Amino acid sequence: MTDSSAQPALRRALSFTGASAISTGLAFAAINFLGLGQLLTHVSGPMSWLAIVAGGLILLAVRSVFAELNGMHPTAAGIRLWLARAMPDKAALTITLTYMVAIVLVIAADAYIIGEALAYAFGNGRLIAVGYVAALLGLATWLNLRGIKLAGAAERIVTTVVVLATLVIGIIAIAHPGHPAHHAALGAGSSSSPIQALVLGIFVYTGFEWVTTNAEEVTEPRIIPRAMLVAVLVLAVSQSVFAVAMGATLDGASLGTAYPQLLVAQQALGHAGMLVMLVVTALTAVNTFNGGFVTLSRFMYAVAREGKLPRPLTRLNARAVPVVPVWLLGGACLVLAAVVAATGSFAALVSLAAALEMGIYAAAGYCVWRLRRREPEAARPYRLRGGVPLAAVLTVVFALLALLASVSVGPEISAVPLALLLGCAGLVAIYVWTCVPRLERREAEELAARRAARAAARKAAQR
Amino acid sequence: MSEPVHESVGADELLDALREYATKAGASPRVNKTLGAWDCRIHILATDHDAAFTLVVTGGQPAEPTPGPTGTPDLVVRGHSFDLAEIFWGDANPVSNYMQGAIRTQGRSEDVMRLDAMAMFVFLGQ
Repeated sequence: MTDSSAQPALRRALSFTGASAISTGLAFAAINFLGLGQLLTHVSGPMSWLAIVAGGLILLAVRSVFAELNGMHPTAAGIRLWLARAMPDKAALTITLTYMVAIVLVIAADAYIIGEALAYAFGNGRLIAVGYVAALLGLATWLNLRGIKLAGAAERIVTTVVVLATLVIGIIAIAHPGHPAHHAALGAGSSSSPIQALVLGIFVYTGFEWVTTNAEEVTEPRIIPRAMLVAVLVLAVSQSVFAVAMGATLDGASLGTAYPQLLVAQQALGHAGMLVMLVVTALTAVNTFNGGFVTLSRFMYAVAREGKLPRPLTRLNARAVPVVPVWLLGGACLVLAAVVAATGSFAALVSLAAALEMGIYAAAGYCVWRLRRREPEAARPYRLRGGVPLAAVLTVVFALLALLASVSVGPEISAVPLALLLGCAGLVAIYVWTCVPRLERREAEELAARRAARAAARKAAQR
Repeated sequence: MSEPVHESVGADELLDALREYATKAGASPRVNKTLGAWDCRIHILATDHDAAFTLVVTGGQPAEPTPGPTGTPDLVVRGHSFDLAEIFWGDANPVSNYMQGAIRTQGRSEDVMRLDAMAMFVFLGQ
């Protein structure tokens, strides 16, 4: 019998540094800067790092959850598979598709933020900013349709530049915070909830677990958990430094803009610094688009091939790229970014994305909890220390944090994110319970027809 | 989710299925058009017995599959011999098997997707 656990050498394998860059780069999105801005409405600047470090410590447990699940089923379809094994398929599919909405939100938010940042840097109005967003998403869509993907080395360089530049600008801003008038507004709204600060402290790590979709590309199973650990550490340091820098340089009004990172750099290093930060912001999108766009379009293709999404989503172009998912993603992100630009409701987007991410962490905790009971004998190269009790605690805690994130926008209590979340999940659930059974029936009928045709052909050949 | 129990498919029958699959893929105009730039060495391993094969795809054209895992692969596909055979016969959707964890792969996701696309072109005539 072939040893299924053996890890043969691959001609092209993902290295530890490559996986670490992916994990860090995916989490280091432009939306993080908005998250930090919101965090500073809940906690004073000098103390803001505490929320981020506390978030990082909790994320270490989440990392262990994903490491256990990924070790059991190291596949790009991980989240779909883990959920399907832990709960009824319809519920699993609803959560999976809702999670995909979260990724679209992050991509759209990144596009919007970069558009706004470009418009600010070049003194353009909102309409031009939407033009930048359209151009950016158009470029991402075109690159994807051409099958162009950032290579491993380039991804490492981009992530390194983004992290180092953010750190350096943050440290300079802390050392030279600029005009003293700004210091008066330090920690605006600092009397707000430390729990909400913790939610945002966790939010800045969002996406670090997406590296699990690269599990099949490593030859050493330990690489993925270690890469996630590196990402958490790098993010903890870089985001903490920049949060303190933001608190030291910006007033409440500046924190509420869509480009607080540019204002920090401008305050500390002048116009040149602002332009450097603009480049850094644009580079964050390279990782987000490269990872999010590619991963999500291929995932949509796979779910459609599985017979759970409409068949046109499986159409490939001459470069073997799933055309319809890529167009859909580009279009959905553009519409979403335009709506955000028109309504100025990017803070609600941060809350919604945070709520969805907390929900996914709760679902992952539940998967560990259920699978430990359902599949106690399954091989687990990596185990969550604390076992079922800790998994249960994480499930409950993250479900509560998801609820909290969904009813707050910045320092205000608002049901808008919750309404959007329930709306998304409701639409997905209606689709899963009404359309998917029809698609499944058709898939089963076609497979049965192919089986019958092959059996008939075999019979004829035997005669 | 309960694990279905399958009968094993012998190494010879599995190799025949793979050969038939490679021949159909080679004859598919859509495979030639869409996967024309694809080069990939694939190891196919049955987890229920010792059967292992190598399928080399050059310029989208699969060569005659050979027994045994030879050379350093770009992609490794593992699964129960029955699940693998069903895919090569066109009796099962490879992605469904993949999403349900019945088959496992190692290698770049682009290669996994192209391998699935090949099956889609061969059996669904897209």
